[in-house]
Amino acid sequence: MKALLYIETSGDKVLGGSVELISAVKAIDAEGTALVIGNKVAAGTVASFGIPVIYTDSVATDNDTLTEVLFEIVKGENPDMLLFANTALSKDVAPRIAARMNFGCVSDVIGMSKNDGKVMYTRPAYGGTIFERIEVEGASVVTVRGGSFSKPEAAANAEITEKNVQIPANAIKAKIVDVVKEISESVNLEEAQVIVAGGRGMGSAENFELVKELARVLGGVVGATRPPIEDGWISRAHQVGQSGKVVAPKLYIACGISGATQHTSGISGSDYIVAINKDEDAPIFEIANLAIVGDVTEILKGMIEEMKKVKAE
Amino acid sequence: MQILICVKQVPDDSIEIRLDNKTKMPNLNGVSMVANAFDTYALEMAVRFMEANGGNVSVLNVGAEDSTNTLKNCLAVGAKEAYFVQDDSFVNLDALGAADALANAIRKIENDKGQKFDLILCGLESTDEITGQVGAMLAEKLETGFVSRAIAFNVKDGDLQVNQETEEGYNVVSVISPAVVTVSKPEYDPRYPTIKTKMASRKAVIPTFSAAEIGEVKQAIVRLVEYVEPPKREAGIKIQEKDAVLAVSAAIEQMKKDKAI
Amino acid sequence: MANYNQLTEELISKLKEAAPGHILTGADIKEDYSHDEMPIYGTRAPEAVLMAHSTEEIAAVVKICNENLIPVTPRGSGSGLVGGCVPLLGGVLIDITKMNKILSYDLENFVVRVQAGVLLNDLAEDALKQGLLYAPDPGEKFACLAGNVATNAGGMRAVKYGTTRDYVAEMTVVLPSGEITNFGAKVSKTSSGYDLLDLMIGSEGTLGVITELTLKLIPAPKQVASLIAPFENLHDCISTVPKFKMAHINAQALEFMEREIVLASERFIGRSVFPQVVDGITANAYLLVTLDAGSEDELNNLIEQASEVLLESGAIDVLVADTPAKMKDAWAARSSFLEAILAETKLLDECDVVVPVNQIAPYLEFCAKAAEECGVEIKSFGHAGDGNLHIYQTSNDLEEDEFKHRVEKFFDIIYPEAIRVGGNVSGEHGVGSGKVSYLADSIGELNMNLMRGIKKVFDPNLIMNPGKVCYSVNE
Repeated sequence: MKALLYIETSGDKVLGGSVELISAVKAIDAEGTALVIGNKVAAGTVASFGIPVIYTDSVATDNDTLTEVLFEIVKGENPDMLLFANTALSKDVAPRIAARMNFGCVSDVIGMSKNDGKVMYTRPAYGGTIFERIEVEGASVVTVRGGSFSKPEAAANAEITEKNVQIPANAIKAKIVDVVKEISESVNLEEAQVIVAGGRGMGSAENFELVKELARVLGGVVGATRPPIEDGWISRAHQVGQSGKVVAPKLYIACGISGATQHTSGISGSDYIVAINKDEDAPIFEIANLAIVGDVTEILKGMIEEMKKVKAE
Repeated sequence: MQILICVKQVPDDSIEIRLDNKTKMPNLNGVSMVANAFDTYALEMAVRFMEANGGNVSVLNVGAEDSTNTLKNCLAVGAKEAYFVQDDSFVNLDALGAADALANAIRKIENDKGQKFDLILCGLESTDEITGQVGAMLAEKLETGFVSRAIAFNVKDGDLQVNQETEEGYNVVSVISPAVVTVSKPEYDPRYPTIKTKMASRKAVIPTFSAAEIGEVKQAIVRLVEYVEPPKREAGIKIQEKDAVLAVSAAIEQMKKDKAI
Repeated sequence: MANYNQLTEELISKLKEAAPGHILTGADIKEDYSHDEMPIYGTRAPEAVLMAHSTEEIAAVVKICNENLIPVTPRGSGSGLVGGCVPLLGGVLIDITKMNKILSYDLENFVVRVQAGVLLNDLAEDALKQGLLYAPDPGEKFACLAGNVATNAGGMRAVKYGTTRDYVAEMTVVLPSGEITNFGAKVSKTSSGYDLLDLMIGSEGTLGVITELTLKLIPAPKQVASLIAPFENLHDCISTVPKFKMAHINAQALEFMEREIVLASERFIGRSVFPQVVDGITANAYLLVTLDAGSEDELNNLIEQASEVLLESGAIDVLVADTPAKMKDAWAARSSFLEAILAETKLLDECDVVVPVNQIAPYLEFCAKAAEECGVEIKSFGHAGDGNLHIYQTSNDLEEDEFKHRVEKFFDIIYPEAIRVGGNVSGEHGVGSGKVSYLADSIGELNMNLMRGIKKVFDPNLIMNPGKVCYSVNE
């Protein structure tokens, strides 16, 4: 079984969710080839995980160009499977390739297994309350949710093959003519190792500062559920959950978050969840490794001080 | 501008849907079927554009189940025309099959009307299966331009311009018409029908076709094998100390023990 | 009032023996226990709290209290508005919120057995999953069912389906003596002596502690929709109400609201549903109507008829909430009124009168005039279908004493007027400690003494919820 992995890059950097695809391919015993477009340093980084790389020297940061480049390469390679990390760009491109190649398309996959030579995909539906198990007849295009597979280990450098792709001019139908930034900060929740998130239970913008302070002390990123965002305590770039960012940090601290499915289904990939809530029946406690029942502002104040000590050790 | 919105009928998403332990299917008991929320945002966006600039707004549904009522609800909030393709063979449509059926239906409607759609809108994703594939696939089938996650659109110097939601704000994307555009949640909510529009929509006759009348149905290649319940994370240790200081130190001890910090 | 004793260390250890691990004292008693949602009627912390887990435990604690003349106050979620659950004389507070299990459904007799502390919201949702409706629909969805029963809570759907009283089949009660008894039966008729069940309903914890309930359910209506009708003025809006009945339209809910309160609520929930200007006309009052029917066609016909009535009565337009999401949004605004007022107001009092439906409009006009005379700001909404009005007095700039003084003056004008037009002092919130004097004024000495007599039969030592309903603490 041949798998082609599209590795998304940002400058010289390889996006974390993309390299997890290398582990995903291993999990189903497929023979993987990575595809890197436009950055040779990144191609080298990927090859250092021991997976052969096809490198194409095109600029393909928009949906139309990327679709065209991938289409040409997929036609040439004829893989059984084309894998993407579940980013905004690949969510647009994956179904387009699937339609052109008549491949089956499976989105937001969180698990893959192989039975009798067939791959079984697991993915959430209905806001994350139900999982679907899916099979594809023939070749497939798959987007994989970040954090579903581990980061690969370094290995002996594999080979990089260069390929050139010509893009017909009429392939570009949509062009970005302006970029408007309303939020200046950049929030990298998907890649965060530590996330401290606050919910309605924080009560006020002032108390929400405690969430930010603990995140700062732990060197983590601030997350939020919808109410603090609607109340203007923090910008929407911080929203975690099915309709915000799906995250998978090593440590997730949920402060004053009751734990609606919409939120919990977006954090279930976390390694360790700590929840602080005054309501001992809060649903968030059902998924927390460590549940602290109590006044969230008091606990946070104490925890900020104690964590400073831990960090100083 | 001639605008078409592809509407999917889904179980009402204001109720949390869970697996029925006996049938191993989503328990839809007492859950009404409604237009997919993102599709209703697309409709409101289109109707606002039509009210300001003229033109026409149509809605289209393809499916195995009766969706006349859902389509009438769309007519009651501003759509001028509705089309329905109903066929039992659509029951297990995958996204590619849905895109195919929509493309066939669109060609058929365009032929019958002798007029092409300039803009085809789809919701960003459906609230039931959340694949978000159909819009992009439809653009491929129709060989049109494609823009995702629109929060607004406009015509500037004869060009279609779409504001595409990003994490930091939005991109302004210029796209050749006709185009397929998927719509995210804009700042406003869809309107309520008034009694007048509601009653008028009840009397509407919706042209309905069978699959055979629009083209050929493709076998699904993506197959649902089963629904399962999400694995439960084991609930861990609970700290219920009255004193915040004691609670924090107990928590830190436990986190150290579990190597979380 | 009777003489009471203080809780001694010795008594506390007795209580702890009776309910091991469930008696809270000292710093463990949270501040919430000293008030309900209307702290203007006074606050007082209990000396001990029983975090009740069973009927037997409550019985044991009440028995000790009765023998030692310790006041006992039962408490649910504390969402009351007349001070009903405030332990005015200290003593022992019984928190029933941990008794929150839905015990069993009897789908052949259409009843459900619940513990007293089950939340209204939890029962409503659980029943709906089985296609059943628990019909009473008080605004506060996170109140305990026993609290609903103790105040005979009404709610939005009362106009069609009646109040809580109509849905109680049976209950288990701990009497002030500490004895456990059952009232009622799982039958739909009774002609078997005095109705003790009905006596308990609306007794506000003064006759005993309700610990379990058997509640009636009905099949959930298949099709539901709501109408939002903006009016230019309140008079036209209210005058529509009797016309529904005359047109044979039995609305499930029929709520009126004034512009100010709708705006406050929409600010609070951060979303706008109610149209403010239609065809150049500013809406100053709204009716929110819910209709239910057995089939889609039947519902659509009903919507059409109801809209005709509304438009003929002067509605500027009629909006139709015909999907669950739209209905939810429309009612979210209505359900948030109290929270929205609380969020924007420093001082608050409320009157929950009920007047004959044809008197709503003149009565509200009377109140508006009286408010102006007394220098009181008011915000009104209510259940137009059954004449139950919620008139809130609010202030952000008055001193508390001055506010209380003006409100008292206001009440002294408007309560007698309510009685004069054939109304009652409380439609659904109860009497608690806040409205005892207005109740006495309205029902008279003779009836008040009948109530006191009943109270004494149940509770000779007057330990249950002292200072509420028919005895004030000062007496």
